Amino acid sequence: MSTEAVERRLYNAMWWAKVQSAGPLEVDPDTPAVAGLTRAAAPDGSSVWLVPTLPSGAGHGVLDELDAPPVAVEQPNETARILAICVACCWTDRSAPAWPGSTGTLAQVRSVYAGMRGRPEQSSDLTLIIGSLRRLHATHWLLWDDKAAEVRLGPRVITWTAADLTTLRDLCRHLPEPPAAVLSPQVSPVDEQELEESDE
Amino acid sequence: MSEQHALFDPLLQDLSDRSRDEVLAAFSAVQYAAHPVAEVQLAGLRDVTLRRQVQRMLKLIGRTLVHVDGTHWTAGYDDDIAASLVAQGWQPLSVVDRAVLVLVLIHSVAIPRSEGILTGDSWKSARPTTVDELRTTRISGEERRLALQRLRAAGLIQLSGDHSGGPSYIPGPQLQRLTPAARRRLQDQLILAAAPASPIAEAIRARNGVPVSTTTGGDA
Amino acid sequence: MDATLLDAEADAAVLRVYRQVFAVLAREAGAMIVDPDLLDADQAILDAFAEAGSDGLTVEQATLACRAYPHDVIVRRFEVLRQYGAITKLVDRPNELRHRAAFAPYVMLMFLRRMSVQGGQGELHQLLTLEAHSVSDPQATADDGSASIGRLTKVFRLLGNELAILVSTSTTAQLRENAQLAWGNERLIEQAEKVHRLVLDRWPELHRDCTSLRMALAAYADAVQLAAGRLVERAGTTRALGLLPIETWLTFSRGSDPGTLAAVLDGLLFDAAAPDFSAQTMVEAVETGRRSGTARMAPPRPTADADAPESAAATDREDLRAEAERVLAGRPSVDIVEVIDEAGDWITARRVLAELTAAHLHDELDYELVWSDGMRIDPTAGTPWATEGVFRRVVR
Repeated sequence: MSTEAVERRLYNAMWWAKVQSAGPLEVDPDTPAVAGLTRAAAPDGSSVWLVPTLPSGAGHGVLDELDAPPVAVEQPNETARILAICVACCWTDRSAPAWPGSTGTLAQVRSVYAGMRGRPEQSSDLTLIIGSLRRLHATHWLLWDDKAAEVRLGPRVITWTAADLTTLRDLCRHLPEPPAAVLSPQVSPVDEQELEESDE
Repeated sequence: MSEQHALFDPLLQDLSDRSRDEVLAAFSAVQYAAHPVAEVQLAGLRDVTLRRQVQRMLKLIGRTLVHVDGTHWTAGYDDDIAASLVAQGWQPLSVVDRAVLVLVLIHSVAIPRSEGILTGDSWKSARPTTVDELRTTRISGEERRLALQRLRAAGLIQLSGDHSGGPSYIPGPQLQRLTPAARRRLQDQLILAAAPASPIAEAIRARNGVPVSTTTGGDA
Repeated sequence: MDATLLDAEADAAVLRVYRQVFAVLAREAGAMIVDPDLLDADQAILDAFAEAGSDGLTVEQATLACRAYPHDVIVRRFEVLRQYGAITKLVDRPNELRHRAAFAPYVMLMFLRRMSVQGGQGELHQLLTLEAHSVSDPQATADDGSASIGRLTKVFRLLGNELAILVSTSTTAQLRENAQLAWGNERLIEQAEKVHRLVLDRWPELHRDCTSLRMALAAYADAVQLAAGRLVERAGTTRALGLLPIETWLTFSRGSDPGTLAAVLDGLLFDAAAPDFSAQTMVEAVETGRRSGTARMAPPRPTADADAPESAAATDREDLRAEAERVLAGRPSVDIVEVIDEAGDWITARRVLAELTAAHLHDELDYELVWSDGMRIDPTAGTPWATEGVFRRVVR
């Protein structure tokens, strides 16, 4: 192998290992491409997220058939529901891809959640919702801003296939219509959504 | 996801459809299943030729096959890639998360080892670490609770089946992803930190001081 | 390891120390104890004498007081203790039946028990403290200093020799068992060095004796290092942890700040949590969420909205065609209720319906799924509620 090819392999491997150990990474748009890592550009173009993709036939789907489950998610159903609700709130233009979508609010999520449950909001709902939002934020399925109480879809949604999107489109139609979003007046909440690369 | 995959296609395109499926299934199983998978369960692991392909796929993403108990496989970071990232100061796990994980490893693994009640040579243990044992450090209750949640989500710790004294934890399945070199590194660093002046620490420094490679295989 | 084996090992370790210590007391070979239980008998006899007061005890009274032990064992131990002078007649005359016990054997017994726990290291620490104390005494002479240094030199030579020989001749398991000889050596050496310093400062003329002690200490330190090296080398990837005493771990875990604890994982990489949420997972979660949230269970009416192909295979046109044809079994159309009941349980039924839905939606396949308003309710069926409808071939 040429030196160049060896270097390229090492470059790819290093970025894959970084993404596996930290989750999808937000990098400068000038960062050279990494084979197999899809680039999810931030709406304002100031950065891109590197998100791992796999060939069809690989991935979590295989695990069910093998009866070899992945690491369990805490409150899996509740978390999946909140993700579905956020899709309904943030994927407003459903003819476009889900990423990056638009900004939704906690008020919208709460409203759709109560609607899905088919009853008025209960006091315990908020704890469950916030817990799920944080879990989904930590794993980059959502970008949740605790302070502004606003949410966007996370870079991982870029891995949903066309078939997934068709299903989700139907699912959105099935969920109660979210009320109009009332966003906080800050200029660009998006820029603040730094993920904790929490090391000192 | 497109049918094209820039990283893996060059490897996969030479395989028959069947081999490709088996290699991808084995790759996915060792990468994403929480626990090591049995070699007998998957053709992609049983068949040495296919397993070599799995190992090649893993190499491309900085990973390597890790043999567990001689019968199971999982995947962990390639020692060289990990070393390069570490040299760049790469450590995504927060200080509190790491501190809490180390406490669990001390109470669930190191202490039972000193008591002579653990067999085998892995970081597996059924001895629970209680919340009380984690309470002894300078980490607030809230910080500790969140750290435990994150560590569980990552499979670094898991709830122990023993609920007699409230929730308690044991090392999670992810510890099994450590290569032999990484397992030893963890052992050495724990001893060097806990008893730096002990003859055992001295012996470890002497061994590591000798300019030998730290990699001890772990390849298929 | 099972309990009896562990017990046997512990007994053996105790006995080893007792034998070693008693060896210097035994008058001749073969007169030594060979069973740790005998020490319990000895202690019971001495305890009985302590209770008896100044009248002493006869053999009969002693065996009665020690009835927890076999009669002949007590009689025999009584005789041994008498022969060694640990028990003597109250008054030395031929017909005297009553005996008294000396206190020294009891003290010895207490020391032995303590030494058997730690292999004598605690006692060695105490000895070193006493030596430091005695050479600091204003009344002490150079002879006292020399004697003190001489004693310590010998202790450390013996310690070092024992360990060195173990390293060169025994198995790793034996070595690990005796690893206590190496524990805490830092403190022992420090204490010995303190005595050494006191003596050398006070009596510089003893420099030769002091050199001997330094050499003995160095030899011991070397032996410790050799033993540690061999143990570490054989310890695999996690077993060396067992070479540190439990107290070390407890002190470290209790006394360290988070940064120090975290640093243990320097250089190690772990995977971030990366759960997968497929569209299907979300559909199912919403489905169950909706159901549990309402008082009345919604019938499992799989609609085109809610159900989508579950697997990649199901999206494949030919697979869908095959499934559709299997369900139709040559007929132009089939009742959905029949399909659902055929499937047995709802999980299976849902998968089948998902595929029929996918076939219905597929541009290149000529099938349709038509729902009607009726509903079949049958508590005995695998899927009690089933919306009525038909799945049929479309003729274009």
